[in-house]
Amino acid sequence: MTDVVIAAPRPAARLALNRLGLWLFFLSESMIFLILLTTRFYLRLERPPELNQVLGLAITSILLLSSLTAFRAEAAMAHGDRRAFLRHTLATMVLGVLFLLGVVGFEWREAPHMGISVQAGYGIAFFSMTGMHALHVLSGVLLLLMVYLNGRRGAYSPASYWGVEATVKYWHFVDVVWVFFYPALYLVS
Amino acid sequence: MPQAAYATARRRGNRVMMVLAAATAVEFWVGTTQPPHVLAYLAALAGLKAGLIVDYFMHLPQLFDRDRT
Repeated sequence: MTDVVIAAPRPAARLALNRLGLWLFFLSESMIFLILLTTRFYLRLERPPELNQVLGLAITSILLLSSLTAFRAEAAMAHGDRRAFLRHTLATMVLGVLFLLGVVGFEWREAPHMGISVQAGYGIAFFSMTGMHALHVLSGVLLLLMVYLNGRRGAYSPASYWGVEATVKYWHFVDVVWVFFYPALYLVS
Repeated sequence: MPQAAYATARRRGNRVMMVLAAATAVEFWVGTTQPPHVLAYLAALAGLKAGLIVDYFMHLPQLFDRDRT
């Protein structure tokens, strides 16, 4: 009987496979968000004019800013600046939590006073879109926390930081989703 | 040299962020003034912002270039 030896992929090839897998995951996740976005327009739901535009702009700005801090965290790790990596990862988490507080803590509490009901019309789209997105932001914050704790233990180096790269890419993906959700929910009437 | 590359990356991040902020401000203005074809304007702005994030922050070109790390 001949022994079959399967060689492990080289690090560069493994990284390329990891990246491909992650992008395929993003593609499949996009379908969920695309369905929610399509539903909002297909049903031609009327946006209540009382919707808090300033809060919408504020939470959008917070999420966009968190993409910059996430980008800086990854760049810092890629160039061996561990202190900057920890600082920017922490900033990204704080901004993510602020976004969640803005959506779930303020917007959801204000919504019923503006006639947005979870049971009918625009409210169904509003709560399902913001809810599904907030769930992804929450999972992103938890992933960032794991990466932060690993980073503090010195688990990453400029030669090996796939965990950081994947988490930061996921965070940007969540941001891209909001880039389409924000105008659909707050700006299109 | 690595320090120069790091500084370049940070500068690029700042520039992309400035464009994203400007596009968001225009989006807000379009949304509040509601000009004709508002949906087309907002879709174009959202597409621009998503493209910038995917290209510069998520490094999509890495996927098609095995030599880049």
